Amino acid sequence: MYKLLRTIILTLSCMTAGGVSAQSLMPTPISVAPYYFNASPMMPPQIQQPYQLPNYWQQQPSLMQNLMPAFSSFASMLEEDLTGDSDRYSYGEDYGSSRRNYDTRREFLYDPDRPRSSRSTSSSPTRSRTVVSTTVRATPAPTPTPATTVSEDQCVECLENNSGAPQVLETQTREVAQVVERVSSSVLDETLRAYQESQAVTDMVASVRSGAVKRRNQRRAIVGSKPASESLGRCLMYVKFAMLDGGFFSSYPSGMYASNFSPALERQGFVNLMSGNGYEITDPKDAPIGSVIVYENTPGSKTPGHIEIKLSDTDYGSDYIDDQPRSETSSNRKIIGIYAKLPAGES
Amino acid sequence: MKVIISLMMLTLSIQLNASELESKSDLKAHYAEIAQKAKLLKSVPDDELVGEILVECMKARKYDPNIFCLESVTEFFRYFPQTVERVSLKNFSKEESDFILKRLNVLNGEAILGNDPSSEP
Repeated sequence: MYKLLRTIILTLSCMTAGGVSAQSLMPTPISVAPYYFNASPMMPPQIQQPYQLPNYWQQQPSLMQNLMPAFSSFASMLEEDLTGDSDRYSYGEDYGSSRRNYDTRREFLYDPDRPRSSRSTSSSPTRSRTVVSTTVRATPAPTPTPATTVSEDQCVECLENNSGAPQVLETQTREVAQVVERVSSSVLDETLRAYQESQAVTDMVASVRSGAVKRRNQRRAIVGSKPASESLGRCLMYVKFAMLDGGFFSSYPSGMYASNFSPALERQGFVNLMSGNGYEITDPKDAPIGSVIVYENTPGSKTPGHIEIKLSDTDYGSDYIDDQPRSETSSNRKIIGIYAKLPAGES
Repeated sequence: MKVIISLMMLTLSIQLNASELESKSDLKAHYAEIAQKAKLLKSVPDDELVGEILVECMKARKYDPNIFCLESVTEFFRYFPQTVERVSLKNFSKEESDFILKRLNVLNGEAILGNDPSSEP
């Protein structure tokens, strides 16, 4: 918002400083273009100085002329409001007739020969029409129809009873659906809560935190220490160690690229929460703690991708720890899976 | 003439606004912009453009210590490492230049050897 405002102010100041008027900002009409560019020898000869704009250019309506209809309609509305005639016209038989609108606007237009006070006399034609309209106003307003109507084939039995049961049934159905939705979401929430509070996840998260400060070489050997925020480009290696510590794997899993690690996770019972299993979690911020987030490169080759574990609501870790998921610090990594291991029977 | 000058200033102001990085939440948009610019490197591999990209990337260092936007020039670096080194030294101090090259080596290694080189088949 701030940026936009500043851009507008800059633009306006540029225009003001340069003395650019609205007239000069108007696009050059097509009919004038050949005079400017002298594009074709078949065109008429150039007009000598002093240059005179063609008629088309001069006949452009002014701003006031453009706005006149809007002013006029506003004035009509205002006049109706002030005289209190708007109700009468709303339900009158002649509602919408051009004749009435024409008269109203004519009345409002300033006419020095006609005194304004003459409008208040009941003998004026406008007033007499108002009286006619007043009788029309007595017509009762249309009966409000119910918001939802139940067709015959939807509930024949209820219509036969004629006891207003369709509305009751509809309300009950809606309530039952809400209860089912609430129960199922609470069950799903409890399942995820059970996962993120499990000992395995706790151990895995602790392993990521302690492992992120160890510098490992290409052969997995620890060769020193490093800041937890420094990335080594070996996210998968560090995540594998953490998952081993959490007990999710019995031996060091294979796989070079993070983007190809999803099948290995699924073999261990992990499910993708992005789709299916009743979940549609697509944002790592909504994922449970301990979720394993898998990325692929985009566009082009999908490898190497990236993999990380959600350590807390504000921490994501692999070979480095950041307060944002990688999807927020990379323009070419796309999330393809948010994995969690649900208790047996849930998947 | 006045119109052209006004339009140029408008474009310039928009570009200046777009490339500003005011918080960590702007990182993604900033990186996407750099990635778009880096696509031109495939057709116009000139020093000036590489320099511009590196400068833009280094602006993000205070929010992203790993400057992952260098992913955009990783492929270029793979084929023209000396160009990147020369441009980097021209635009930055020796220390900053070394940091950029180190990060590029990490990203390049990740792309070639994978995220777990120890599992090489």
